[in-house]
Amino acid sequence: MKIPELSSRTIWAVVMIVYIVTCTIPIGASFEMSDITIEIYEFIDDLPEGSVVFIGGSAVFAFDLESSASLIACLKQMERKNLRIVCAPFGVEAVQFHKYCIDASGVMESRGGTWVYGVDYVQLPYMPGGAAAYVALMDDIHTAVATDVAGTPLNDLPLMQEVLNHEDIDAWICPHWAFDMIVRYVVAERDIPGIYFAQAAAYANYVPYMMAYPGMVWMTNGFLGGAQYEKLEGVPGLGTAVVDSYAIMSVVYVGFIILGNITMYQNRDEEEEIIQ
Amino acid sequence: MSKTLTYYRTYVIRALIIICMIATLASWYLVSPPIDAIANELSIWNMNIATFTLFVGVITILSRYVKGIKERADNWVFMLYATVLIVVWIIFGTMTGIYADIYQTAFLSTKITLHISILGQLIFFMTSAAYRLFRIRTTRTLLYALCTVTIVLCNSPLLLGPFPIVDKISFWLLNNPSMSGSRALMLTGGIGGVVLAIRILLGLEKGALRATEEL
Amino acid sequence: MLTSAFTEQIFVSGKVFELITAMIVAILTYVAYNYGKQGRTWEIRQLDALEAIYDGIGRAAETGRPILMLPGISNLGNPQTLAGLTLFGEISQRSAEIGVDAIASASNTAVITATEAIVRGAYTAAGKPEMYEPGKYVRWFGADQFAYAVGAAGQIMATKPSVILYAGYFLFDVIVSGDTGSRVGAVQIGGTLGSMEMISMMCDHIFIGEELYAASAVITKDEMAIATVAGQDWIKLLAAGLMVLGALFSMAGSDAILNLIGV
Repeated sequence: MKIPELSSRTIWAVVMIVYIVTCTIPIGASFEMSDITIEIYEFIDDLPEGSVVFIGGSAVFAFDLESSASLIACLKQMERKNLRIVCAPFGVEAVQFHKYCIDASGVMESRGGTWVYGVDYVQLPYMPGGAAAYVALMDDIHTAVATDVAGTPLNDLPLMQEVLNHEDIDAWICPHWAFDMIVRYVVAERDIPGIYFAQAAAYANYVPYMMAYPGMVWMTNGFLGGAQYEKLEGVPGLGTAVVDSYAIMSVVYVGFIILGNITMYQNRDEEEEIIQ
Repeated sequence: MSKTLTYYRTYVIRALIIICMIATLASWYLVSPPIDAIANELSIWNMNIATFTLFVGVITILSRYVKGIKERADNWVFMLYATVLIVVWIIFGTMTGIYADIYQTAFLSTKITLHISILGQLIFFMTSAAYRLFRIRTTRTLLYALCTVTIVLCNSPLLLGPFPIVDKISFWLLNNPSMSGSRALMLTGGIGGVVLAIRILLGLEKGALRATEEL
Repeated sequence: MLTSAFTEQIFVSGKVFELITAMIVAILTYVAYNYGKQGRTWEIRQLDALEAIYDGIGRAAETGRPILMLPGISNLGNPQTLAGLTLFGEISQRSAEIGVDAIASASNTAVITATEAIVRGAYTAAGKPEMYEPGKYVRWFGADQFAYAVGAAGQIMATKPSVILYAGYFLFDVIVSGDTGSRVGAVQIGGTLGSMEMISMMCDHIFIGEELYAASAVITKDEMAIATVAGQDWIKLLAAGLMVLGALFSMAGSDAILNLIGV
């Protein structure tokens, strides 16, 4: 049976059907737990009460939604362990992303949690300048940024009275794309452990950093990593919800590559006749 | 503008950049509290300039669009729409603050919804591109297709479940052959970027930043 | 000697080797530049993607369709964007001389301003300043990669360019515009560092790694810029030599090179 050359329209239709099916009919695809995700979970669990964790990087909200699966579960874990966080946005959309994750995790007092703004968590404003902003923040937070996102002076916030520079940071979580900046200015220069809730595409780019800085850098892998983290914390969320689609779509993708090659080999004789 | 004034303007700025560059590099390599203080101050100034460029960007676009609207240029209706949106969002953000729930709701339901709709389409584009492109005609394309299929399948939860070993295969592939290739690109790109920067500083770059042409 | 108390008072620990490397890089670049000033020339090997650009300009003239250049989503501080704009400057000048439209769109407002200046300069240099119209050749599609992707795709569908050049910093936006470009039958030429895998999927010809920077020197036919490319190659040879030495020493069980780098 000869397979015709498929048009883009057909391919798009098949992909759409796969997504609709996996979204409406839960398949319950299982997934294995990753050792690295367990290491991250245990690292956060072992941090002493009151440790300060920075969450930050340069952001593209739509991409970072993939990281939000891990981050939301991690925020719940950090609330349970009475850790404290400072959100340091180096991208324009990072402020909104951090707020989205904190709202979704429900860790704030106003949403049924235990965290109080200014005491347990602080949102810094967007800091432009790329590398210069990282350097300035690491050296002296209060000089780099004078107020929080709402304009409250940092000295008026109890948490920020204790967090002055990189020496007061116990870990850095990056749920955004440009993790190499974090590795350079936070992990390598200041020996602060770095955790990267990576998007699947970014994971391939940045995974060598785990080899380069063993015991200092860990990464989760996209929605799958998010599902693993949610399972560890016991809070099913976005990651768990998309594992089905992720699993089936990976196979469909490869299936189309194989189909394309079959079509090409079937039509190869015809092409040679035309050329002759 | 006279040629002399152009040259003075160019070379004074170039000298300033070189002095700032040397101060920043010196603070990186040398132990010197005074140089560290200068470098920290320059970092703060760098952040200030980056903030300034945000405003310049908005003014640039608004001035282009207002001009286009006045002259009824092509697509002037979209320019008007964009101008109105820019102004509305600036006022909205200033009044409510960007950390307010109402701003967040508006942001998520407009910009982010559109973003995610495009992001969601990427898989459609990539699947149709994969169907078209990963055709094995030569050894090179065979390797290309094999690597793609291996990495995609090794990361698939369907395969990870019954065959946990694929996680280790994927990890090895990403950390060895893939890393060496991407590191090579990164190294050569970094060296190229440094040399390009030196070319620009020396005024050799005759492209976008022509330093010796009369403006 | 390098780790004595005296040197630790002057140099930050762990960065002495880095400083020496930086000085060697600067010296080699200067030596190459000096050779260029003295008239020494180097032959750069043929870059397929650059040849494709030259052919593309001719193709655009034959088909009457424009050339589209996309400098990516980053700002003027990114070397990839600068290299892309240099390429665009030469392309727009050659296009202006033969009556082909060279259009561009960008995501960053500073890049828009620079690109407009390039187009204006190109028409002036081609002796046709009256042909230049502000806003006609350069479009802005939102300071955001997805807005840029969709805008560029729309521009591709509307203008149906014969050649599309992706030269700058791209992320996933190149998937959307690249697929759209292949649908309209454009020859696509790409050069970037970050998204090489996606550029290689979408484009017919690519600049691999620092070929983009070399192309921006070669296309201007400026001997001193080409001389700095030679300096770039010397630095790469040194880096490669160090890597080989490091691999050999590691295999022999010695940490000498690792310790040297960590000084």
